[in-house]
This record gives sequence, structure tokens and C-alpha cells, in this order.
Amino acid sequence: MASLAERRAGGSRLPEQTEILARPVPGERRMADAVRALAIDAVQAAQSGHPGMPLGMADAATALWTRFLKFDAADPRWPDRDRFVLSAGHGSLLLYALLHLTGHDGMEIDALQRFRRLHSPAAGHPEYGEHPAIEATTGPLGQGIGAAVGMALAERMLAARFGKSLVDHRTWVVASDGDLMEGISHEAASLAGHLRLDKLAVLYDDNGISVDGEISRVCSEDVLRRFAAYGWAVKQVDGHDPTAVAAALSSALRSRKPSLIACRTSLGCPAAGDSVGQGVRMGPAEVLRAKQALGWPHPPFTVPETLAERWRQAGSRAAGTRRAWLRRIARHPQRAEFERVTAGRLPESWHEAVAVLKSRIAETRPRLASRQSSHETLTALVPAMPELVGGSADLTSSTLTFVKGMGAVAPGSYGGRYVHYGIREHAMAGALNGMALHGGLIPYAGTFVAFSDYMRPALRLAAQMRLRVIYVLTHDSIGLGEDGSTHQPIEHLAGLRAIPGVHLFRPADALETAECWELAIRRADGPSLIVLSRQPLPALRSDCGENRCARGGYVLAEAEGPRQATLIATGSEVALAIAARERLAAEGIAAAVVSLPCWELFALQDEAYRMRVLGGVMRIGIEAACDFGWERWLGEGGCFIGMSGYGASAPCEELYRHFGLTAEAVALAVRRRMH
Amino acid sequence: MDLRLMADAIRFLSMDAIKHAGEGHPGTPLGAADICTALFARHLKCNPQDPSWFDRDRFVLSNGHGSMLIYALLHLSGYEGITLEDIRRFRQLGSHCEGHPEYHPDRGIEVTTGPLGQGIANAAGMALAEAFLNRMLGADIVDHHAYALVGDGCLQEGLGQEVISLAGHLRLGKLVFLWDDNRMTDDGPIDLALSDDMPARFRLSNWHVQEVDGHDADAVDTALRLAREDPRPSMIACRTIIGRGLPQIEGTRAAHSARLDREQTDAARAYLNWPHPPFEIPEPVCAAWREAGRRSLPDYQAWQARVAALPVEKRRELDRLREGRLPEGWRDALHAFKRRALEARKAEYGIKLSADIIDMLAEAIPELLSGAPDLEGATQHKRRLAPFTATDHSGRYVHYGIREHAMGAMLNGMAAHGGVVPIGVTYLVFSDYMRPTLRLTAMMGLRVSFVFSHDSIGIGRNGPTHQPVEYLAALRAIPNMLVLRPADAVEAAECWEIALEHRAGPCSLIFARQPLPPVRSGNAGENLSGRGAYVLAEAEGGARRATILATGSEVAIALQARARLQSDGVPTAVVSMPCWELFEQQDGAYRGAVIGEGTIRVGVEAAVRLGWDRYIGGDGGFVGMTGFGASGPEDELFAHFGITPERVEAAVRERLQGNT
Repeated sequence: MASLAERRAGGSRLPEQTEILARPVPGERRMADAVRALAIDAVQAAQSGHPGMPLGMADAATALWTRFLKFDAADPRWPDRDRFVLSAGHGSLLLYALLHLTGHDGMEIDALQRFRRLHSPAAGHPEYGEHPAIEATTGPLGQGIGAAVGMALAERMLAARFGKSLVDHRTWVVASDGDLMEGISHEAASLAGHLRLDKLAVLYDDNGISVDGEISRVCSEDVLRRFAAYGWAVKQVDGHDPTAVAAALSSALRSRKPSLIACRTSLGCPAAGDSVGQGVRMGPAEVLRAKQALGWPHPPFTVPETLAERWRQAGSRAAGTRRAWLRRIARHPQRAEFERVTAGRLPESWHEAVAVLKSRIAETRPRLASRQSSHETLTALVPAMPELVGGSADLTSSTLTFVKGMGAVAPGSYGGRYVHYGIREHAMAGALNGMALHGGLIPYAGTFVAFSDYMRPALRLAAQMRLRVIYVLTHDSIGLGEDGSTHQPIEHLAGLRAIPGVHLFRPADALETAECWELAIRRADGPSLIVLSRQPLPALRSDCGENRCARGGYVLAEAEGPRQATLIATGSEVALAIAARERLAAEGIAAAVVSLPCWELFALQDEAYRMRVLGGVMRIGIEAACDFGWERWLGEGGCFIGMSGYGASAPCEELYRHFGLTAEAVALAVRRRMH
Repeated sequence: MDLRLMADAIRFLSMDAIKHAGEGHPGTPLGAADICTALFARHLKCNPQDPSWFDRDRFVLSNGHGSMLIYALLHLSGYEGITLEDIRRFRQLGSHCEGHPEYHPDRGIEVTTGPLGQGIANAAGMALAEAFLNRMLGADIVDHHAYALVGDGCLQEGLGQEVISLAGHLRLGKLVFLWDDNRMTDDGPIDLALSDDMPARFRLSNWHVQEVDGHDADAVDTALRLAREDPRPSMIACRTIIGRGLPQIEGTRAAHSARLDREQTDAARAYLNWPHPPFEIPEPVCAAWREAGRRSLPDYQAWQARVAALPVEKRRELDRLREGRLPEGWRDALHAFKRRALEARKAEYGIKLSADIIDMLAEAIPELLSGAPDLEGATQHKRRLAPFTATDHSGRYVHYGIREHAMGAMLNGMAAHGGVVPIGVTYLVFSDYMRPTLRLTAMMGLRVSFVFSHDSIGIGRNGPTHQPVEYLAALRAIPNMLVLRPADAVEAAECWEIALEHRAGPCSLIFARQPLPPVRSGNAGENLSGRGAYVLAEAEGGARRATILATGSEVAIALQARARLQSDGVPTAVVSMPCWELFEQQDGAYRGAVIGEGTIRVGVEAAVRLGWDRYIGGDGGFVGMTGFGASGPEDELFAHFGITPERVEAAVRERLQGNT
């Protein structure tokens, strides 16, 4: 241990690696060497990849996977398995080698041989969906920790609901220095410490090296004490000593706090230290030398049968535990409900409450801010859907995401359904991903649209992983008024629409809000963003039969007489379009109003429908945002009325006038184009 | 004068303005009034008569929602840019007292704040700029502090931790945070969501930490003195009561952003024994504040005298830096680079082109500061530059660590500070980690150059998490930001020239990882990229029938498609569009001629289509990405996703048939 600590100042890692390699070789070391050899061979075959992490963390990961991690390779989706997240996604081979060795179908040796090639499940970074045992897509640093906190929280919440006999598992993370430097990991760790998520443990590859070189060049803080300040139990061990790692993992099992275990390792051990760091290729000579140093005489991609057998046994170590669990659930009174929520099936009558709400809205035609309409919809949904869990990043009373009776999750108490994430948008989005990945919950959470930028990296991953996550984004334009330009989204709608796989809903009134929520709940294969106003919006519809938002866009008000213009708007600007239509009608100009709450769904409709909605006449787009992307719907002769720069601080109505977002301006634009 | 009375002047101006506006956040201005009074009345080096004095201390209100605090401070200490009328019209159109403070150095507002965590990072960037200029110009000329008032929110944000960690690491000793520790957030008491040992977080990142009663201005005063003496960055934890002075709601959640009524402000007047009518400050208190505003006058005059005594060359250099002018002849190297590229005509890795250019420019521009969040090797924008370290603040390359967000916000702080030309480099996918700061750079109109490399599936095997597809669109959507995506070495030089000439806002320079073959030939004279888009290869053999529009690495694909079409007798032009925003500024005739209105138009970009319809029209074609990428060798990926000359050609041909 001392030698590891001392070498930090010394530079060369050769002496310490020599020392490590000179230790007696127990069986565990040989098992870890199998991981190392596979990693070396795969990087060699791909001529690219990051060997450092898999080599350095092989011993620690072997201790975890052979003695602690609860999993059965025969069923990688067993709901009560421990979750393993490789937050340091660039070390993907560590995970692939472990999955291969423990006997997972779908990660045979040819997958490793085709590492980083098109259609191989062994992608450059672990990709969720490429293999059922890959729990999360990782690579962008810090995201794995964010997701793991969500998984650990989901476990606690589901255990509170279904009991320990069905839900009792841990979340393990392997992370790198980089993960811990990113802001998101700070937020996530602070949240996990606060909530006392004691079944979460992070093994951190404390190798003192980053891409740029010695970590001391960019970081001089004491990571362990920092995590202690978050309320974590912290330990430091020699990452190449399986006994020491196992002792630390055992104490994590007993801890009342989340655990951080710093595994001091020698990067790339035994690949001759100094040259093989992050993403550096090894030549054939280095490969040979490394294997010689290990005492590994076997041909590439070959693991001797006795060792392979020991690894396969590790892969079925928890098979008995799983069978016992299957026996328990078979006679569990909540079996059907548990299976329903873990399969992500909605309850039979979930939409009845919304149907009642919709007919009430159609009758009473309330004038409400759409954030309030969203609250009413949630009030209907929450009791009907016990798997629906909410939260907000310290904006509960502004985003109106809390519904009475939900109860808040608190340290040591997880029976509530609402999470106060604190001022931590990024960790919140990461946790939402983790909850959705874990299964059994449908998570939603709220913040302002302007702050969606803070969580964008996690949001992108939700889209990439096609997760059922719902973001409630309020205060969606200059309509928020006095808070001014920092809080007024301009480019956010375009920026979010650009992300493939995201459905962005911007409802125009209470009824559309209920419809959009329905669509978001129903959507099982990707994230939904519900974008809502702070200011009140008049009711525009009285029909509550068909969900008209389901087609993404529709004719809200047809022109009286042959259509001369189509006014296309979203959200708060639809009412403005309706007012403009009336003005134009008074002048004898027949204009239709199209509401376009969800571009992505509209784009999925057939060409004929879209043409019928958009019309072959002059098109005017109206949205209190920048015009980016609108040409698609407006065509070349079209005209856009919206924002061309940042907003200002003043009351809502004044701002709409100031920036020329008025019915008069719309009518004028139509008239100008007609002449 | 009793500091308490001076602080009460802030309290009443704030509550009167908030009551008048109908909304606002009284919690911070009332709770932190004593802290800021100690700072402004005893420590802050400033001159309200010359708000943008180069050697002033910088003050940042990081918890921007407490904006009335800074407006009251500036008004009381004599900044003419914030009038009583502005305060009366708090949160109204045309008032300089916006809901959140907006960048206006001539009025004493150093940066726009509101999105949490940004302000403290800006302050760290200012402290870094100060440290660098202090070495470059000497302590006689540059020697000031950066102070930030910070709330719990800023410290909960990930950005906050990145800054704490980096500022401590770099030993930015002139950075001082005043933490308004009021134990209250919007959702309720802090322990609803936070159990951090906050002082510990600072201490173990090598900060000097003190804990004081935030309502004892003398204690804050003493702490500030000690903070300035300590060589480490300092954090002063000031325990306060939120909304201090409003008897019904002080110390409660309601104080955070409560609406105030007459009854409450009357009660506060009785409670604090302040018998004066709304918006009226008694003369002795006013005088004390004006006096505080004049406190640094001797320093100011001494500084002016030192500057006047500088040798003429040094003074010119100082003036140049203050005014943000680049040194004469800075373009020479760029032009030489362009000429060499036109002669050599060889393919070169996209990001290496930028690295070569910066290596040259760094020599011509001594105030250029480069840096990256742990991607020096992959992006190479260090080369001969020495690192900026805890022990050597004269270095010009900042190793930000894996902290993109802190880098972005610190670049803003450096630009707002002035005197330096800040550049930050990372992968395009990680630009999302700093997106909140990009927006603020654009909003403030700061000159920051962001270099984003590894710009498409062209990065290959690292796979979809590292392959941008939606980023170009999302960046182009940000108002007042130039997004430049050069196609080869010549365009790279042109784009850098544009970026450094551009002073009204930030630029994002987007580079491929993979080699970019030369697409430009001919003369080196005009900066063709300066018009945003231009005809790179005109149609031959008749009137133009088709136009292929492309950016960056796809321009070469467009040229290959053109060659195929031309050889088949279809007169086809290729338009290179390195910068959409500049193209939009051209007149309609130029734009129409370039994009070939009336011809068949096909856009090519290894990214999503969003935004392209503007240029390709309703029946145009687009060859690009429709979803996320994949992990594989780059050439296989381009073939897999169909971004090839064949597909571009086919897109043109489909439409040719449709037209005939």
C-alpha cells in the first residue's frame, strides 16, 4: 500500500507494478488475469480502445463479481438482481469481459473479437440495449453515477412498496477520477448522502492518471473527505489486493450510508506502466510483454478451461437465490402488481380518471396556466398510477409537480412518491434515467425550461436509451415575465426538438395538456417533455373524445370558406392565432388555425394528412421562441412570428406587445402577404 | 456611520421596490444586506465615477434572483447608471433593474446572473484573468480581487463544486466567496434536500474558510480582511436569517420569493425602527454611502498616476488590452497559413488544423489563453504554451480537469474581466455539459471562442455517446452565437480570422476529428467564409440545375457527388456554408444566388435535418443523420448511415426525374 501511495510523486509506475506482479498468485488473481488478457486481446484486435481501466480494476471487479454481486447469468433481467453500472464507460471491456466470462448468452468470444465494430454488442462504450446485462449507456462522464443513484433510490422506493422479500438488492458502480470531477457526480453524491442510500456503493479507480496525465495536475482535493462531507462512508484500499477489496465490500454491506471505496490501482497494470494510459494503443511487443509479466501463456482470446469453469460458476453463484425469489414471488399477494409495474404495463383503468378530467375541462372551459392544468392532470393520474413518482429541482411550487398525498421521500424513509432533488437539475435527470432503467417506476420531474440546459447531457442519454422518463418543463417563454431574459427560453424548444427520439409536447390549453400527459404516459420507448406556461391560457376546445394531440398537429379551427391562410402555432401562441383568425375573418380573410403541440408525432403522420393540415396556402408560424426549424412546416414562402433574440424583464402582456407577438401583428403579416 | 443603518437602507430600498413591482425575491437582499454593506463600505475597490476602471475589484451577485441587493448597493454607493427611478421601476420594461442582473459594466454589473452556479464560476474566471494579467503587466497595474455573494443553490449545482475544486487547485488567492448561509430554499428548509458539510467541502479543496454571523457587519469586515491576507481562495460562511427585517416572514420559506404588501413593509419599518417613507433614504445614511463610494478614490488616482508614468510602449499595450484590440499584424500568420495550405493542398486532421493555427496565433497574441477539460492530447491546443498552475500564474494553458461546465463559465468570467482572449476546447458532445454557460456568453455578447472537435460520426469507434448528431442544430439555435464549421485548412484559417475579429458575441468553431481533404483552390485573398456561405464550385456546361449545400467534412462528399453529376452532364454547383449566421446577414440577392433558388437543392451534413429546410426548400433533399450513431470504423459508419457521394447524387437524380 505504501508503495502505491509513495509512487505518486515518483513518476514511473514500473517499480510498483513489479511489486504487484511479484506477489503470490492466488486463484482470484488468475481470474482477474483472464479479464486482463481478454481486454488486452480485444483492444489489440480493434486497434483502439482504453485498456487502462479494465487492466487496473480487474482485481477489484473480480472480487465484486465473484463474491458480492447478486446476479444470475441465466436471467440478466431478474428484477431483484444487483445493478452494476460501469460509470467509467470508456473502460467498457471490463464489463464485456466480465459478462463473457460469467457465461452470459449474447456476449460470446466473437463479440469481444469484434470489439468496436459495427453490430457488435461490444461497442466502444457500453450501450443499453446491446446486451440485456448492460444496465446503462455510459461514456459521458458522471452519468453512470447519476443513473446509479436513481437505481438505488428506485430500489428503496419499491422495497417500501413491495417489501424486502421481493425487492432487496444493491447498486454497485465502478467509476473513474473523471466521473468524480464532473459536476453531476457531486450533485448525485450529495443527494445520495442526504437520502442515506446505503445500498449504493461506488468503487473508484484511484489510479492518479487522466487523459492529460497525472491527476494532480488538475485536481488536488481529497476525494474521500469530500464524500465524507456528503455523508458517505469512505474507505481506501489497495485495489490489487482481493482480500482488502473484499473487506471493504463487506463493510459496504453493513454501512448505514452510501459507500465510496477508493481502489488505489496502478493504471494499466501489468502493461508496463508508463506508456499505456487512457486510449493508448499497445503494440504486439507490449502485448507479449504484458502477458509474460502476468504469467499468461495462453493464445489470444483463450481462457484455460479450469479458469473458465470457475468464472462460469461465479456467473451462477446466485442461481439458488434467484430460484428462492421466484418461489417467493409465486405466492406473493402483490405478485400481479409487481409483475405489472416491472414490465412497464400501465394499470387497466389508468386513463379513466383523465377521461373524467377531460370531460370536466370540456364543460367548464377553465382559463388556466398550463402548468396548473398539468397539476390537475397529475392530480387525476397520481392516485390511478402507483408507479408514477415525481419530483422537482427546488421548484415544486412553481412547476406544480407535487400532488397532495404523494408524500415526500426523506432520509431513511422511502414510502413517499415525491423527491426533493434540491438545486441539482443534472443529478435529477440522471436519477430519472436510473429509475427508468431500474424499472417498476415511471418517473417525472419538473424544472424551468431554461434550466433544461443544465440536464441536457442526461436528457440526451434518456433519448439514446429510449427511456420512459417525463420532464415537466414550465415557464416556457417570455410569458414568464419579470424574471427576465436569463429565465426566458428562446432557443430551448429548437434545441430540444433537435434531439432524436425526444417527444416535445407544448399544449395550448387545459384539454391539450391532459391529452399530452396521456401521450407521455403511454409512450414506453422514449422520453417526453411537457412544456408549459406560467401565464394563464384560455380554453380553446370543448371536445374531449379523440385525443387530437396524438397526431402531433391538427386543424383546431378551419377557415370559414376556402382557406386563404394557415396560422400554425403551439402552446400559449395558439390562443393568439385564434384571435388573429377572428380579426382576419372580420376583414373577410379566411384563415385556419393549426395547433402543433408535438412536431415529432406530426412528422410521423402520412404526407396527405400533413398537407391537409398545413394547407397549400400561405402559412404563418407563431411561437414565442426562435424560428429555428420552423421552415419545415412553413415552406419557403412562409412567415414566422416569434423571437429573434433574447427577452426582457417586464410583465408578460407588455413583453408580448414589445416583441410584436400579437394578434394584430399576425393579421398584418397575413394581409401584407396577400397584397 | 453605523453599518447597520447603511444595511437597513438596502433593506428598505429592496422591499419597497419588490412591493412596488408586485414580485421579486426579498430573501437575499434583506438577509445579506449586512454582509454586502461590510464589503462595499470597507473593502471593495471601485470608483462609481469610472465603473469600468481596469483595476477595480469585481463583485458578482451569483444568486442573481436577489437582484435588488446589487441595485441598491450600486445606487447607494453612487453609480449613476442605476437611478432611484430605475429602482422604482424594478422589473419593468426599460428599467436597468431587471428581474435578474444583466451584464452592464458601465453600470457596475459585471456579469449576467440568475442561472445558479454561473456567477461564482465567472468570478473564478475573473480571478484567473487577474492572476495572469498581474504577472503579465505587473502588480502596479493589475492587483484586484473578485468577490462573489453566493447562495446554497450555487453550491448545490454541480458547477459550484467544479469551481470550488478548480479554484482551490489553481490557488486563485484573490477569489473570495461570501456564502449567504440562510438555511432556506424555494422548496423549504435546506435539510429537505441537503446534508453536505459545506465548509468541509471548501477546506478539503484547499480553501481558506471562516464562519461568521452574517448579521454582524464588523465580524464580516474582519473576516474579509483575513480573507485578503490568506494566499488561498477564501470562503466566508455567513450565517444569516433569510428576509431579515420582515417580522412576519423572516427566517421562513415565505421570505424567499414572497410578494410583499403594505402591512408587511409597515411592520418592517416598526421592527427595524425605520420611520422613513418608501424610497426615501435619510440624508446621513445617504452621505455615508456616498462616502463609501468615494473610499477608493486615492487608490484610483494613484493607479492613474502609475499608468501615466508608464513608458509609452507599455501604456499603449495596456490600452490595447483594456480596449480588447488585438495586436497589429495578428492576421499575418493566418494569411501565411492560408497561402501555404493553398499550395500544399493536403488532407489534415480537422482538429489539428485548429491546433496549428492557435499555435501560431498564440505567438502573435500574448493575451490569448487556451485550455481544455482533460483533452489536451486529443485536441492539442497547448503545444508551446506553459500551463497555468497553482505556482505559476503566468501560464497560458489552463488544465481545467474534467470540468467542462466550469471551463465554460470561467471563460465567460475571463472575457467579462477583459484584457485576455479566452479560448476553450472540448469535444462537441461535451458542449452540452456547458450549454447553460454558452447561452450566457451569447446573451452578454462576450468574445469567447469555443472550439468543439470530434464533430460527427466521423469520430468512429467511440460510438453514439461521443458522436454529435443534434449539436449543430442546437448551437445554431442560440441567438447571437456564430457557429463555424470549416471544410478544410483554408476555411479553418478563415473561420479563425472571423472568430477573433468578431467582438459582439461568442463563436463556436467546430472541427472534425478525421482528416479534411483540401476543397479550396485559387487565390488566398478574400475571406470567402466571411459571407457565411459561398459557391465553392460553380456548375459547368450550362445553367445550374442542381445545388449541393454542405458544411465541414461533408463538403468533400458534395464535391465528389458534383463530379459524378457533372460527368453525366448535370450542371451542378457546390455551396460551402461554414457559418449560417453570417450568411443570414447577407442581402437577399446574394443569398438567393448562392443557394440556387429554382435549382434542385440537396443539403449534406452528418447531423440531423432540423434547420436545413431553410436552405433546401420544401422539395429539397437532405443527406444526413436521422438518429443516433453507432460504434464502428468511421468509413464504415459513413457508408452505414448513407452519407456518401452516391446518396447525394441519388437525391439529386430523384428530383431531376421529378422535374422532367
